Amino acid sequence: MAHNVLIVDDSVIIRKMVARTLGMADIELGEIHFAENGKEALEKLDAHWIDIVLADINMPVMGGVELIEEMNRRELTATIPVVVISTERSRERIEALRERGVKAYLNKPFTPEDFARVIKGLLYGDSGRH
Amino acid sequence: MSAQHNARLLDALTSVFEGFAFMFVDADVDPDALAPAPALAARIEYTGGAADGDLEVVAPVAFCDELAENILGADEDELPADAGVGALQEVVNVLAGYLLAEEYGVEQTFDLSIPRTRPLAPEEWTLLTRDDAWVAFLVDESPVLVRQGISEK
Repeated sequence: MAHNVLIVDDSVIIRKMVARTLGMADIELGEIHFAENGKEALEKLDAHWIDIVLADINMPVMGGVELIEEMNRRELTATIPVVVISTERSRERIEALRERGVKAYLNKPFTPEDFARVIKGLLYGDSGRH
Repeated sequence: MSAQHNARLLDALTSVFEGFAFMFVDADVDPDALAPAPALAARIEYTGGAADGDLEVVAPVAFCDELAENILGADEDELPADAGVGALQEVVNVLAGYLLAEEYGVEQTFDLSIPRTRPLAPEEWTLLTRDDAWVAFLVDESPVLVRQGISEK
């Protein structure tokens, strides 16, 4: 089954880098959608079927935390797994994200191996097989 | 800046540039390597329970484009517009997160601003290389200047 992915980051460099890393991760990919902030991400979620969201936290207009809270409020998006990719290292903040339902957290810079392990774990279960 | 601070900067820069772009950092900078060139400055501010401050990274424009190519594994003609600007902004963003965690631990929480960049004339570059607040490094043989401002509470 091909998976549709939404990448949310205000940096075009990071959006492209994450898309490139996804392409190397041995994941059956469908459509890849991009958004520059949480507000744009919600519009993409309204318009497309998305299987997983990869989101930054610190973004202008609407940040990652507001995006996750809004996704949780909406029936159609509440169960979509969210992976946060951020520079944030505060234990308190990361725990708060998990309490909001964030499935995984990746610190920048991440290795392609760490990235693949986390995404495959979420999409295919712990074995990473598909 | 203290030798300890410079060592911490070197450690952070090494982690960020190697992890992000497979580029290697050297703290042993020959003054001839610091010749003036058109450059970009990226700055981020942080506020938190333990300290407030800012972090600035300055690098030649040509290096920023090369950085973007390395991060994306793309050739110059495949890069998005302002890729060099975006690459340097991301470096200062990631570097700030790394340094703050190393300096204050993960129990401290900081708010980081959105990074901003500005162009830097060669004359200003020369002034920075003479200013003790700035530390020079070589990244893949290109000079990169870093300044961290800290106001501890």
